[in-house]
Amino acid sequence: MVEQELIRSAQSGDRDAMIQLLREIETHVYRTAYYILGNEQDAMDAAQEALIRVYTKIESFEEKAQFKTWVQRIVTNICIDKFRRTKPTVSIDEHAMNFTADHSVEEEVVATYVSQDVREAINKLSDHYRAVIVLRYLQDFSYNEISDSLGLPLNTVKSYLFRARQQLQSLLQDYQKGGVGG
Amino acid sequence: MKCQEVMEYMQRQLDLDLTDSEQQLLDAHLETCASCRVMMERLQRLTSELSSLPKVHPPVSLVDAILPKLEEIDRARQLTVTGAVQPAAADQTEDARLANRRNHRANRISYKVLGGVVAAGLLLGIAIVNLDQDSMQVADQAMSGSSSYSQANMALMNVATSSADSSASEEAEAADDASGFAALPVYEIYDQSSSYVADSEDKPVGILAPSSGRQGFLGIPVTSGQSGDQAVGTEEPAAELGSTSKSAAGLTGEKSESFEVDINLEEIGTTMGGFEGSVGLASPEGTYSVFIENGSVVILDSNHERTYISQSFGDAEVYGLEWMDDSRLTFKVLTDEGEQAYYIDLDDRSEGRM
Repeated sequence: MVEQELIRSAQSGDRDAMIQLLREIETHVYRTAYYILGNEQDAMDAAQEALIRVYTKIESFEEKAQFKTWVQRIVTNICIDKFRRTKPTVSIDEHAMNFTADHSVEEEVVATYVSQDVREAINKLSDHYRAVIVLRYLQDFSYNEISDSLGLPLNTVKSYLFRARQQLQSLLQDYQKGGVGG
Repeated sequence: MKCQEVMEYMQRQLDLDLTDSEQQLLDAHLETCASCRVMMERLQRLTSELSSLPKVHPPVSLVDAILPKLEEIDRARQLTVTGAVQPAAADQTEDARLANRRNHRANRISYKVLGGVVAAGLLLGIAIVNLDQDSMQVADQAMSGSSSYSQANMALMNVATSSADSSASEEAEAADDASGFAALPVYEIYDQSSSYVADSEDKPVGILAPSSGRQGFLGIPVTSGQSGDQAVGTEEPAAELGSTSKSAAGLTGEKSESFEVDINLEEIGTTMGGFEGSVGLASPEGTYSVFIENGSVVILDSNHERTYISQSFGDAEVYGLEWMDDSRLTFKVLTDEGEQAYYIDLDDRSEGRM
């Protein structure tokens, strides 16, 4: 966790503190960008832009907020706004209710998803679902922290997270059956 | 308990968000419902997969990569805050060097031209009443055809208010030694605005905002020599501007003097090299002015200090700056995906796509 003292020093114009602060958050910023954007190059660009914005806006950070959620808000905004991809995502309702279907228990194959499948599935989520999943699992954020980061109401965060997980498990189920590909 | 309700419990269970009694309800249901049990297993498996996604690290240090850009930002801030003239930094970034090179030609035009352009702009206002059509055409050429009569007259008014303080001094010593300086894109500025207005010592040079008809200021420091009472002119304008400047001066009968605008071009290079659209566009009440710099929209407050810098749009073209009211601004960005409209709201200091 970033020291409060470091933040204050950075806000008061201590450039070394500012640089140190940026070094401490750069991996977190990059990780979020990487999983939202799905590739290294875009992640590098977005993360650098986010760090520059942290640098230029540090004065506007208020201590009543959590620094890590403030930073994640910046990087997710950049990823969603600027690097929004045109590729189609799974529509929000398409897979949402699959679990209610009467799956035959016998058909279920217990298998381990490979990490690549999970990433592909994440890439199929809509921007906000993806952002919620990334903050929950890559940043280990609570509902409240996700809510602060994305500027979404708590109930919306929960609803997005639940639906996103439903979509993911449904997509992964399809992969397992060799169904819906790329 | 219905399966549909159980889904939310299962989801919250994944986040360890259930109370003890809720957990008991869930467990009881799962014991009796194979379908939900399978779903619970799937979701747990998914959660464990998500939790074990690789914790990727950037391939190179991002902070190291942006250090040159941060230095650029620092220099730009310093320029705005102090307005001071400083020697060219020895450690100028590659970007700044490129900017220098790009504007090298403009550089060569040097202060003499700048002085000439300034004088032409100022005196045009004075001369405008008497100019015949031919003279106006010459003037229009000199000013890239973008100035209007009323703007020129505004320039005149500014001359009237500031001429007592404006200075005339010796020929710029550095005029022929542009090597240590970045460029001042004289013509780009002229495309967008009507005139420089020389103010008192070490004050920013004002640029009239054409669309609003109000004054907007840019942080261009001007260091002047001893004060003089004369309207400023020049004896050595560039060839293509000379006729305008001289004829204007002749018509007014004002005494022409050389004019020094001692601008640290290294500093200007970082702040002005990126001018791409409207320049120094003032808000309707004149509280703010806005310009584009290095792909960001930069807003100055009434003290000419940077009060807001937007996200950087990188190499994308930023244009179409327009004030909706005194604190709300719209602009457009041309990206690979086409034209996008953006806004900046200075009241709540937010920005975003429209």
